[in-house]
Amino acid sequence: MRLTYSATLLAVFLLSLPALASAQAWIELSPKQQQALAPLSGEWNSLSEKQQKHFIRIAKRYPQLTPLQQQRVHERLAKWSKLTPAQRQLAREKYKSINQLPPEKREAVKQTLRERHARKHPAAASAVQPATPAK
Amino acid sequence: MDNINLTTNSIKRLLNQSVTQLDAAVVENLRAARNRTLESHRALQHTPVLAWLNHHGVWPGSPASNHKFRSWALALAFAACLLSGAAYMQQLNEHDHSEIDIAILADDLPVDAYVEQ
Repeated sequence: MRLTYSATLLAVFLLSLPALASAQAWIELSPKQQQALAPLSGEWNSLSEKQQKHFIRIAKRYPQLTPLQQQRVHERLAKWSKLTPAQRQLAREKYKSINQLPPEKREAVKQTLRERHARKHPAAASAVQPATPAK
Repeated sequence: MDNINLTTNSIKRLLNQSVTQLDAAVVENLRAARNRTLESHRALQHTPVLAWLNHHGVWPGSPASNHKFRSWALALAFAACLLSGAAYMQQLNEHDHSEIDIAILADDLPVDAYVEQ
């Protein structure tokens, strides 16, 4: 009988583990995760647990990218982490709506956005190179 | 119903008389059960935390505390299921974003172009 009660308490503890999971320190990340998330090393420990989990999932997909795409991710990660949730949501919706367009129209919309961005940020415009996005 | 006035001593006397009428095997079983209960009570007293829980009716020791313990265990299990379910659902929702986020980050358009109105 006592064994049954102890087993019940153990089951309760194990069931609670996902909810009790705590944030992960930078040094606890694997070398591959650290390489993928290198731009966030300085601010990693101050990120919320939710943000950390999100970036760890991004790191998992990082090795599947081409070197050019990996470079872009590194250049943009820090900026992405500083965006507000509303800004990130806007970017996701915009990306989805653009990618639902037929290829010719999609390129035209992207070109318009590229030109608009170049007018607002002339210095950054030279660094932008068109290439096939990751899927 | 007959109005019988039973005192503690009269109950004790009646029980003692009845014991003499029981089979030897039944008496032996009762003695063994009593010894087991006393042994388990002694073991509980040797563990201060369990004794404290038992004293407050949380850890099983008597039928009443068994019932309390079962209620507590059920409530805890229910709360744990709710918590882990919520955490699991949250993880599922977040998972959808990582795929699109890395696509935006790796895209030929800069992030600003997607954020600007």
